[in-house]
Amino acid sequence: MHSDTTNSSTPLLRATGLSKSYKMGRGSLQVLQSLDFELQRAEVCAVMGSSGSGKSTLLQILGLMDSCDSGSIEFNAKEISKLSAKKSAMLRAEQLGFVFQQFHLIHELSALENVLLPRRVACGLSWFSKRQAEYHAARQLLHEVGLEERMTHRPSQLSGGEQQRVAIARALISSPPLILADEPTGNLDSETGGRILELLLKMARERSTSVLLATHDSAVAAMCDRTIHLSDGQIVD
Amino acid sequence: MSFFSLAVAYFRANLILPLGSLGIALGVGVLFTVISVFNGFTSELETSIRKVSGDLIVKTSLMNKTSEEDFRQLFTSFSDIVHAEPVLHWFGMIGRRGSRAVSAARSSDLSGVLLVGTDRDIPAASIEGVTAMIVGEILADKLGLKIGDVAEVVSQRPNSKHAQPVRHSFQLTATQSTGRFDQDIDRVLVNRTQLAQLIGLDSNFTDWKINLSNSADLMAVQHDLSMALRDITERSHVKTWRDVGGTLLRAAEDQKGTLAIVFGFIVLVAAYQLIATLLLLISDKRQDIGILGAIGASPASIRSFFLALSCVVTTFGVVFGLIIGMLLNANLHHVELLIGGGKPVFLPEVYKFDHIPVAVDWPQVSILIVFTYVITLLFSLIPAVRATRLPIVTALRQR
Repeated sequence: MHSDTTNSSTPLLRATGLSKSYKMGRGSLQVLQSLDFELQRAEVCAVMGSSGSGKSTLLQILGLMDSCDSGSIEFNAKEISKLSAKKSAMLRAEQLGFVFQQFHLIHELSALENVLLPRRVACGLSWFSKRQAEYHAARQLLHEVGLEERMTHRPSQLSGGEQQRVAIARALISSPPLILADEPTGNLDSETGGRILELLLKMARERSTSVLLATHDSAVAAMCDRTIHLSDGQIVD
Repeated sequence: MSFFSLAVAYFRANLILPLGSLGIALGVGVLFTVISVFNGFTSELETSIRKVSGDLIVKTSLMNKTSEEDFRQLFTSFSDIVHAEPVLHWFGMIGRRGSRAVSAARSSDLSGVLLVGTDRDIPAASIEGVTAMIVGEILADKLGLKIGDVAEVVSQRPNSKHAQPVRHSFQLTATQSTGRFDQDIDRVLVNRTQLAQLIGLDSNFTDWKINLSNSADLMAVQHDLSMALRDITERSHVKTWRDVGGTLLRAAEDQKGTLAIVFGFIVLVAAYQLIATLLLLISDKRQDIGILGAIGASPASIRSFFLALSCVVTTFGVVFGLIIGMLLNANLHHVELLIGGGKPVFLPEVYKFDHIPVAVDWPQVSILIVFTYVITLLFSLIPAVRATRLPIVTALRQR
């Protein structure tokens, strides 16, 4: 669970000169170009842009799931873009939460077990001494997202909206200071999507958790504190 | 450790994994049974050798001048010796009375036998001037002898300048079955004193069959007895039951080793197919690997997960394998008839047991279990390492 020892005036996340390109045959596709970006603590920021504008790539790089070609990323005033695979994994487990468009739940596990998965990964061998408390926290979160009656259900037995609620609970189980949400309503109808987004933002704000949310829906962006627009790999106003 | 419950969930949800366990179970089950049967076989063989030969055999010579009483006194001074029995061994040839074998002897019509002079009870002969004998059931069958029939034995007196044949009639008054083919095909048991007189021997014993207490150290007693015998005779030496029946026992043990290697390959192949199973699973579950990476599983953790999965598959395989092995052991007779098309594979007239002997040696079973785990884990390293090389973003895109 996160502990914040840095000055609250420093941004939670700062990206400087981020560039990323993909090889495309003989040439390359520049996705991000010298991008500078800051996210404040407890801030909810929407990243808007058309398909292929680099929204998902930006979230993946900031979430240490992908590497950048150049630039730096500071998290809690610490450089994190050059961390080893092991340290990156540790940071993802303890400081970051992810919500994906495709929900990305493990189908072999129940809703409760999916929510607990990041804690199992983060705790390692200490899991056995902490499991009671972790189970309690997971049940509490599933209760908050309205799935107290569906805890033992597998993802295939849940609707899309319910699966995304499980994913939100999973993103919050480690009480991370930052949640990266990549088009969290993209796979849901507008009514369900609206409710899911309200739930995500409500729970994040209650916990003072920052959210960086990629979307191409202006209605979604309107619910956030701030919106940045990506075009040709750069932030445009 | 934290990935074991996830691995169990994967095992339950993906049929390919229980099928992998089944392959391991078959290998372990068959190997367990093969080892148990051969352990049972060697154990019965050991019991049989010790029953016939005793634990130690003191071999003396006919030139030996030491009396039977002196030997007995020496043996009683050893607290580990619980029984000592003198035996007289002599060689001869046997044929049915009236058969061409004796009237016009040809080697192919006569059976070479070991005449064993013993103190055990031998039913008396019903014909005057004929000596009672007991022969092995196989020899009786071979000669066509029934209880009450008379056979002729031809032998030779010792210490004569020219060969002096001895010929005497023996009546079959009983047969015996020791469970050993070599014992039941060429042994003729006769009263020891009568045998010595018939052959014209000065001494009525050539060997001593010694039985030791269960706690006795065989080799230590052999050594001490050899030293003590030097004080009373120069013409004796002490052998253990292993020296006497060792060749047969070693052959059985070698056979066990060979079959263990052959059937060990089944386990090896089953473990090898686990590579294919896990690689298939990785290909099918790339998105899950991406999810694990995204929520913070390090490459080492992902590797651990696949090794845990391999452990779960192996554990189910080993447990089911042991159950299969125990079921096979309990129903070996039916299995034997099934394999032999209704006839026993182990011929009763050769192996002399009314059931296939089985002895489970748990230390050997432990080695089998450890061997199975080691090779499956080694083989699982390949897919486990491959899973860690999958980039998270690429894996998440997989549908």
